Amino acid sequence: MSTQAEAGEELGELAARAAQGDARATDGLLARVRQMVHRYCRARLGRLPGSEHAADDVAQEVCIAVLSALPRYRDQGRPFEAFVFGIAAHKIADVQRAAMRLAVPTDDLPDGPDAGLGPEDEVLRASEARQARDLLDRLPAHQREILILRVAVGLSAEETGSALGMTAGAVRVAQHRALTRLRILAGEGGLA
Amino acid sequence: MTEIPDLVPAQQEVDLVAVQRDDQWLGQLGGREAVTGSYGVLGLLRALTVEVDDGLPEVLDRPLPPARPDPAERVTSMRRRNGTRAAVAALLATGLVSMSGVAAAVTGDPFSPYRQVFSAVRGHDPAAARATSQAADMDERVDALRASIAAGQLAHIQAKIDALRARALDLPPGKRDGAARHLDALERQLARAVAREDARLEHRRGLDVAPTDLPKGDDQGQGTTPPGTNSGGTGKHSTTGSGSGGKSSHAPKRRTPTSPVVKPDSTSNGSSPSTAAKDSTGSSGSSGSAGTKTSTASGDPSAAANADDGQ
Repeated sequence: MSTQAEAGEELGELAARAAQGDARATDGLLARVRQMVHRYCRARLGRLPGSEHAADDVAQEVCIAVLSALPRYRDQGRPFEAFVFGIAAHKIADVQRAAMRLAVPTDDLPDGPDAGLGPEDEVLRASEARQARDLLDRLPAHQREILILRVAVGLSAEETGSALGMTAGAVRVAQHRALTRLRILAGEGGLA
Repeated sequence: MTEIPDLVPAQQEVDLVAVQRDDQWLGQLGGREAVTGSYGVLGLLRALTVEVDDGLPEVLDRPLPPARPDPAERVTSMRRRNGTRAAVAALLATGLVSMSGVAAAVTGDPFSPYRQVFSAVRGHDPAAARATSQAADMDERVDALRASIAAGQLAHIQAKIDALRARALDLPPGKRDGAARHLDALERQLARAVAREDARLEHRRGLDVAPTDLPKGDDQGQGTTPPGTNSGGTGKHSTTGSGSGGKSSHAPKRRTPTSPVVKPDSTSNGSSPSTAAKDSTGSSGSSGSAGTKTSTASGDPSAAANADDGQ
């Protein structure tokens, strides 16, 4: 945990150096931020109908926005992750608003060999992922954010807490309640 | 998105074991590890992580579009900016030159529009306006005195110059020096004019024994000095040269000469010069024709010059 905390601090230090124009720090920061942002956007957006790569596009926009805003970034006691996910949340909200106004075109079937999952597995996985996303969407926003950051992005309880301005203990209790609610929503009842 | 009310009351006792177990599971899901008992909700979340990571390494390998312009782009944009600045500067210069040209054609002063703008920006300064007005008034008075001296009207000039010197003390220092120089020049001009007038009177005094009073026959036959050589108050010689008892007949009807003007350093109040000037003019008027004839007859160029200068 301490390692993760140091990693979090390192991200802040990287951001501070990058804000002062350190190119190497900027590259290191981007490498770490990019994966988080892509996972977050994919978890939040999934595969929008008619725009399968929308999540990746949004993630790129978020990364560019973070880089652009970097010279203005000042460490005011708020972790850099919060800065990044704040930008990402706004971008995603914009995309979701735009997607609600879009028409839904019909996709052509993919043509060519696919080394991925088979059609049955693909459908099953897509169905489960969509079901998970639907359930997550029915959670209160702060619980949804906690689960996405912990599961999809892969942050620790400490990192999630620093990104959301909570303690790690509060994150653990909140995520337990979120999972309990998901189980109820999924009709699992007493499933662990 | 429909949210349901909180199904888990906040006051409900928290099962710390369940909390720890959920934290462990979520950690495994986030670390993309195999999750023990990965079914139900956890299975759904695991499917979500699989979808999230699908094809992600390839996406992350793609270069990110540059957030900052690269150096080449920066140079291009700098050139573009410089070009724009040059165009704007050229446009401004053209506009200014055009405006100056129009102003020069209309008013004769190419800077008149800018002066108006400048004065509008500076606002009205009463002290500066008063100083300018005083200086202009001083210049007018100096010009008037200069014209009077040139016209031979020398009365009261010195007093007026002294009065202007007193007024010049109220001018701002820069304009005060200029006015003092003008007044000095005026006094020098006055001194020269007075000297000329004195010389003229002196010459006239010498001509008071007018040859026209002599009998024509005597003058024609006995003159020892040719008329052309009789100059500069030497009429007395010609008179004495006539020899034939002319002294008694030419006892000079001398008018008591009074100084026509007051010298520049005179401390008089100027009344006597004025009177003297009038007297001088009057006397010369009464005998002017004789004097003029005499001068012409004697061919005295200085007399003619004085006549021209005085009038």
